[in-house]
Amino acid sequence: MLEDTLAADLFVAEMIFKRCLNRPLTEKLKSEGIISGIRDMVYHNDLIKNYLSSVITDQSQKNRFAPLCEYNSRKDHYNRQADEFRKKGIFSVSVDDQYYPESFRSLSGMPQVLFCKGNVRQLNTKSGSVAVVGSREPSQYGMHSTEILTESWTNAGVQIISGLARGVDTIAHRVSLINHGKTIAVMACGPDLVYPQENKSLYEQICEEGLVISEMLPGQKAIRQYFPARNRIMSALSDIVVVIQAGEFSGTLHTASFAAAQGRDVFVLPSQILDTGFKGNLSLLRDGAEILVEPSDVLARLSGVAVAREYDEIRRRLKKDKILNMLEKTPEKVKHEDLVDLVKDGIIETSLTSDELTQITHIPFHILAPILSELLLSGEITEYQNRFSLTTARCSSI
Amino acid sequence: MNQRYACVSTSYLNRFDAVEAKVEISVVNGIPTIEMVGLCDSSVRESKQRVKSAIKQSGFSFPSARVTISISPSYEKKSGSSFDLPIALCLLAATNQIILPKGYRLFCLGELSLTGDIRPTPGMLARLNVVQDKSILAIVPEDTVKEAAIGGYQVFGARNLRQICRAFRRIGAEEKLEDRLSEIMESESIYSSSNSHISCVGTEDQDDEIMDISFLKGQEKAKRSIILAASGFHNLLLVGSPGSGKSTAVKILSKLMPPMNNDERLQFLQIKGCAGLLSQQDLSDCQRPFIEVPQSCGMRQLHGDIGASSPGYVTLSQGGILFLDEIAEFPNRILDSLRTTIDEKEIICPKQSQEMIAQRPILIAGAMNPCRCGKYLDEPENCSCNIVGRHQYMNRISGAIYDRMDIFCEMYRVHYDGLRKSLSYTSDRENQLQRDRVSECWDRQYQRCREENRPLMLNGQAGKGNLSELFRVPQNELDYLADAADKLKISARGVGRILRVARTISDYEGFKDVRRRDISEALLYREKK
Repeated sequence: MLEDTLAADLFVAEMIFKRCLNRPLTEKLKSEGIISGIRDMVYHNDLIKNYLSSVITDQSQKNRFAPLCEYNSRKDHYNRQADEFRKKGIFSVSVDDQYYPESFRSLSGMPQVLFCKGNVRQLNTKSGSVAVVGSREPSQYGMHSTEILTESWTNAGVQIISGLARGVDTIAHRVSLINHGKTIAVMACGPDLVYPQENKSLYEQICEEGLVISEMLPGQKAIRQYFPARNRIMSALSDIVVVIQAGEFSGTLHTASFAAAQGRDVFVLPSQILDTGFKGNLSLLRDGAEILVEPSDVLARLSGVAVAREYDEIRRRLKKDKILNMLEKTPEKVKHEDLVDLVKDGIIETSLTSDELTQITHIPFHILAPILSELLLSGEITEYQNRFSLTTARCSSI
Repeated sequence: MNQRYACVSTSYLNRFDAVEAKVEISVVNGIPTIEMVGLCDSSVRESKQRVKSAIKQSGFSFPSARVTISISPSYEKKSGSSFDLPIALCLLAATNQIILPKGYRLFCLGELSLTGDIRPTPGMLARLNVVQDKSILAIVPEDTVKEAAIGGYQVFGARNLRQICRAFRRIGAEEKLEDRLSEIMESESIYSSSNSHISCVGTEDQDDEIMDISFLKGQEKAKRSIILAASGFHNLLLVGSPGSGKSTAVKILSKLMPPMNNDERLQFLQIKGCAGLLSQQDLSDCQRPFIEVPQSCGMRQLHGDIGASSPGYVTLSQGGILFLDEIAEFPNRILDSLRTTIDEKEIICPKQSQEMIAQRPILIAGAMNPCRCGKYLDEPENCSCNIVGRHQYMNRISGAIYDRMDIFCEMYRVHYDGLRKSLSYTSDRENQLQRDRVSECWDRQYQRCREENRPLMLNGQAGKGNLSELFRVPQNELDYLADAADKLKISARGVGRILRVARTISDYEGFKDVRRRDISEALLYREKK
């Protein structure tokens, strides 16, 4: 019984917002074996109904969780909604999907369902992502810096994440699109609405060439209290957060603290000490944020972070033992890509000589040698003092 | 007394070659003198005394007449003591004390002791080589019969003068001697070379536990490097800290070479024989020469001295390996002098500026430290050399030999786990397997040369000419290589080297055309500046 995934996600998101569904409950249901993923809320609605009625004794609680069991009766409503939104180009990504951002998985408090419009692959881009945040009324210096920095980063292949707000966000998105770069706009309203209205054409362009995402259900209007929460998504999606301009009590500072909590590096543009519009910058710098002097500061840091993340993915994907086993018994069947992954996996932590690589990966030298050369030529690994390591400067301009 | 005359064939050594000669003796009435003509030097002239004594001690009489001994060709300088026996036999024949066997031309050589014993002379193979007429009756010193047997020559080995004369007496004036010749000779204990069995010691028997290629476990790149160097006869340079096993690796390389074939062996024994360096072991050994050049070597020892007729290390290592350990410590002029050897395949003996063409290829193997203190590869942080010093050290051999090395390989000290393994090391006896594969690889290369109508040579020796054609490299792989050369900044010569190594890899794996992965692998062995 294959339900419409968008409809299912709409249901789930609604439940989450109504506080019927939360993580502890999902975990409980998973451990009981009733559901294996969050979409199963829809597929096994009856089971859940039974389970809940058996577990929850208190009547007030029962009322709270009642909507959870009502999917089957309201199925048409959700399907209709799904069709409507699909016509607008909206689709959903849930935590069980392959497109779900990997960076969210290791953080707590991240949305389990995202509604998107545009190119879904950008959620897991291999080149780095930088979140650009700043004041809605930036100074000339702030605007100009945003332009220069974003252009440089875009040319290096970096993805720009921002919030489509007035000011710094708009400049960042625009520059990225002009230079044919990748950009993601994280909305505080549903992905089908535009806020602020004046960015409508920019929004449409991003839907076309980039990605618009939101935690909110489609159709939901922007709520002021929600903005800080939206910022946590911007920070989580990126590798590095860049603060262009923040006043003393600005909302941008929230983003910076989210970033710190999530373990993201924060680069802050320096300013003159007498400039009030930048007081937030100076206090962030005082609190330990990194100073942003030129675009390459971020690029250099970016590569290390992105590499670590990409190869965490490889590690998880890698069925290392399986490949090694195959290598021993039926070497012709081992796929080239698997060998390449094995090699890259071997040199993630440290740089190694070819002999050491042979020992660690157990690939015979005469099979390893051409792989090393080809990786060297394609630029994915570099050699220094006869030791091979993953190319840290992954952006092309370095 | 009548005029009496006799002549006998012989041959003598001139530097490293032998020359056929004829000894003629004429005995005429007159005041008893012995004259030797034919540009003989003092060592030949001393024969007179030895011959006189030997003849008398053997129970014959020395003529009291005017004896003229002529050794032709008369325009060449002669030296050596091997004329004793021919002069003695010739003299006895001229004085009718013995009769030389009819139907055969007598060929003999050897030094005589004062009592008539025949002593061995060096260079038997070379001497026998030059004798044009094969219907000779060859009588040589007994100790050199084995040497002659290797060359496949039919000779008789005699111990003293008396034996020979007794045998000749029994032969008498018989015609039709062939069937009885060996019989008669043997009755006088003169044994022919067909009786001596020379077995070539197979190379497997020489494999020992330690020098097996499986010893290089943990140093896989080095292992592969020496296999490829052996398969294509490529010059090889190993760079590593002291104790990383470079010298061991080169010695193992020598074990991987297939044994010499007959021609090569003969030539090798000939050269060694002429120099008087032949030992019993050499006669039964099939292994390719492996010469380790000592640090204190001079130009003369390396390239040979014609005046002293001693072949240098380079000559002796033909067909095998010339190993220069600590190559960076050799004086520059020594290394420079090797350049012409590799390039033009010539050996220039410095003193007389005479040239000898190196007929067989030589594999030059070098081992060196990465820097003066030797720590740069294993512990770069502890290396006490500065950058300039390091470059200077590497540059010491650049240009001269560096450019002509095909395969470069770094060797690292085996770490603790590896050491533990080596302490409990048991050889896997892989040498024979690899030797067979190297042999097959050589066959493939020779086959390709035959198909292309070129002289037979191995990949590492292929010098000039359009390598890509000779090596059957498809065009798109050439493009790939050109691209790689661009990215990795490889010189044109470097590209040639990589092609050669790639071709060897294909041959070793058994493919007709060079594949992309072969080129990719060959890139790893390129020189690092």
